[in-house]
Amino acid sequence: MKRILGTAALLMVLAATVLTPAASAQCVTGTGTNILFKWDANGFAYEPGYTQATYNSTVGNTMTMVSQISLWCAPFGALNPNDPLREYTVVITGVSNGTTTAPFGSSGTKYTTLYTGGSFAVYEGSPRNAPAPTSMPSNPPNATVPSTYQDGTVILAGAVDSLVTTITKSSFGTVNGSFRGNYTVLSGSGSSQLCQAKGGVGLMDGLWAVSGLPTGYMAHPNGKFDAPACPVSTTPSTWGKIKALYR
Amino acid sequence: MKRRALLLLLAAVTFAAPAYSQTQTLFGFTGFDYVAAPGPGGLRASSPSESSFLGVADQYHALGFITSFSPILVGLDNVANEYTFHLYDATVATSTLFGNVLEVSFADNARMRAFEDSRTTGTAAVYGINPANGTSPSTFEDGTLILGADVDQLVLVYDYDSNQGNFIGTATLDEGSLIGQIPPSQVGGWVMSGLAGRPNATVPQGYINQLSGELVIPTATNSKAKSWGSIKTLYR
Repeated sequence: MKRILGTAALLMVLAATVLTPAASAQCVTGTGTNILFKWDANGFAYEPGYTQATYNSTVGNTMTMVSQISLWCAPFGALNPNDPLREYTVVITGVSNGTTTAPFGSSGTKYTTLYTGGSFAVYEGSPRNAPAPTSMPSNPPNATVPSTYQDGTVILAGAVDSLVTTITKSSFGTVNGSFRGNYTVLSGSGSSQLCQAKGGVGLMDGLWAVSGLPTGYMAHPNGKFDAPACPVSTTPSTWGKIKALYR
Repeated sequence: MKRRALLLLLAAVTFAAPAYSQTQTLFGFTGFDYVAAPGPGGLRASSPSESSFLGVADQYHALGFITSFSPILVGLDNVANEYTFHLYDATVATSTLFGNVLEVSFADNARMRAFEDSRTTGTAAVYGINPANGTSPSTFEDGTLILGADVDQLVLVYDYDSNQGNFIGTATLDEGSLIGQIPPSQVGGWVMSGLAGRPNATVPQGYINQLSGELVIPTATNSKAKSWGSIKTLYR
């Protein structure tokens, strides 16, 4: 019996070794929590009724973020974001709770927008059909945005809550922004590769650039998802056993 | 009649494709930042009682990995090599905490450098803890210098209410083995921006923020003001 258990344990270790691709150095932080995936140039957000001049969002309107993944990390390190035959894209949504505008310093202003009730989905699509970041078609939604970002197999999907974008106009005249939110994995063909297929919560955040945008877009996000946290294992016990530990 | 139809078509095409500006990304990056106080080996606390974060004369460092390159750069191999960057010589000129918003300006002439290092014969970059340490920044600035830039007008804003912030500065490319691939008219005018926030489980001890950012250059789709008369003459 012991030998069977030992063999089973060894096989499990081997399977984990073979099936889990080694995370590349750029994914590893050294803390135990690593990046899950990242996107760079090809990331854009839009929202109906958004006022670009004042960075103001209307309560109840839905923001949509479309991105093409440029880096995959463990447990998806075997996926090639530059695969000529397929592309990996993310679509994120959130419902606006409106924008709060607040001054700071002598001439600075910050614009904070909260999005709730959102969702995300990561797609593996073939062929590569999302537009290039330098030629984004104007005024989405249109014939290619978001449709070319949400075609193919859903690898991961779930909920996004408390997504906050913060844009600042500094006293020095610079304008830039960032975003931050939490996601929860609920489904997707790749979700079983995570430590829990459902319920894993992770951080998503990044840059929220608001200059040099194609017509009809509100921001260019450059960001990433960190790997979802894994639950800490528990062992059922009795009060008697716990008390015994301290005797 | 034909001419009127042509003009209507022309007008439709003109208004259907308005001029717009977009950006060209040179590279995207991920990493972490840290602050070294003036003097040898000093390290500012990351705890946001933050009057100590980025005080005047502090040295701001941002380093990490380049995660994607623009197709305008050729000869790069992300499988055989790792690509890293380091922003340094960023000296705090002014630092003010307005309520929960920190606003920091830096003296000009910070430097950003990007490196290529073989994954087989080079040294893998490792963050470690409490930088500067035995591997950081040293393993992020070894190998071949591929691009370097003078970074000016760098400003960092951090909002402790939403736990996120950003930095932005202008960059002029002026060194590195790939500098010849940059059109001479485009060595200046780049914008380096990034940052995100904390708390964040990915941030190693001694670093402050996880970074997500990029180096971009605004490109404009040219448009010219024309009268209807001059447009019509084109088709006569």
